[in-house]
Amino acid sequence: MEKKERIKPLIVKIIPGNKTHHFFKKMPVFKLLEELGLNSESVVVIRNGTPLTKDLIVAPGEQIEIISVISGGKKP
Amino acid sequence: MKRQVEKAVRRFQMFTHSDKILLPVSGGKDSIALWDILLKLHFKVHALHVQLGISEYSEKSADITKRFSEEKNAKLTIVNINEEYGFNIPLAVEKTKLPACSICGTTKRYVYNKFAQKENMDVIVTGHNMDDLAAQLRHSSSTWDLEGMLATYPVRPGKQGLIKRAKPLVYLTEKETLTYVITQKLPVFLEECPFSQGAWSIVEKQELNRIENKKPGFKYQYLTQFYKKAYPAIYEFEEKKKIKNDIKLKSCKICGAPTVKDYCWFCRTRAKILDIKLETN
Ligand code: SF4
Ligand SMILES: [Zn+2]
Repeated sequence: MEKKERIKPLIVKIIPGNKTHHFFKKMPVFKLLEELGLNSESVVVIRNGTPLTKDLIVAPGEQIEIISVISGGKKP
Repeated sequence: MKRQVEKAVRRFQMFTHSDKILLPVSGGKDSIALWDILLKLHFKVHALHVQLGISEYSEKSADITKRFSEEKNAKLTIVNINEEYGFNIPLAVEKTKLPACSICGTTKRYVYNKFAQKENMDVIVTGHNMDDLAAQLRHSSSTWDLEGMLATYPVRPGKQGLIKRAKPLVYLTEKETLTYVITQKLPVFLEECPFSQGAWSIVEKQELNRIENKKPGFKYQYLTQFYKKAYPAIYEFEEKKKIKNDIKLKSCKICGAPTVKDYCWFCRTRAKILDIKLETN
């Protein structure tokens, strides 16, 4: 517990909704999505303004944004 | 990305470099991506943003389109429906009790068509992507709504007062258009319209992505095989039905738009919203 507090977490923000999750281990993007119960087809994962592919590794200390790509509005 | 749009434009003979193209832009990822790609491919594109009067959402959407147009030096016209027709979407919903998206969709389509005719444009292109079309196909085919299924085809020829329409993003997924606007650092508005009802389309899209995850390429196959194998037969069937039923279109007494009644849907709805009495004979 104490140890965890000293490590900076991997901060994951989910948009829309702005819900934030913290993780304390390194993992590939697809694993992170699995843990969050998200489908990689339905989201774009972004680090420092750059979209990440499924196999890239994300790690504690980083900040990630996950944007849902699904929109419901009707196009004429 | 550019290549996928070029492929669609060529494959479905959507338009050429000499055509005047009208591109309605909402400020969302798809219309912004399409705007950027069409400019990069040197097409003659004129963007049109319709301001719907949906509070902050409309303000922010308009701002994004203005920003893009300034950054890229791209042609943009903004039409405010309140200034032009005397109502906005919230008022229309209140007065008619119709679903917002149905009034809004019809109004936008009406405005695009009027604008395209006035400016002598050859084609109206919209930002429907592969997910939009596949979801619509699944939804329509669940009740065998043949007209709805036909509407997923990437190009619809112009006829009787209606301008040709095309959907150049047919080969691109939502994930790809969003990735594109982020990597290209384009201004984009990611919030959803407060009226967005989209329940069915979200369910269909999630379901399609669930399959796509297990069977990569599924969405592409699902759509393109429909276009190839089922579309031509359904199209012919529906056309024959129209001839048999002898549906004749008249011109709307107010605006001249094609209609089966004396007044077009838009003019009738507008009259209802503004408490105007229409003459009938
Ligand atoms: S979600 Fe519906 S009401 Fe909102 S802009 Fe789209 S069509 Fe119009
Ligand atoms: Zn009319």
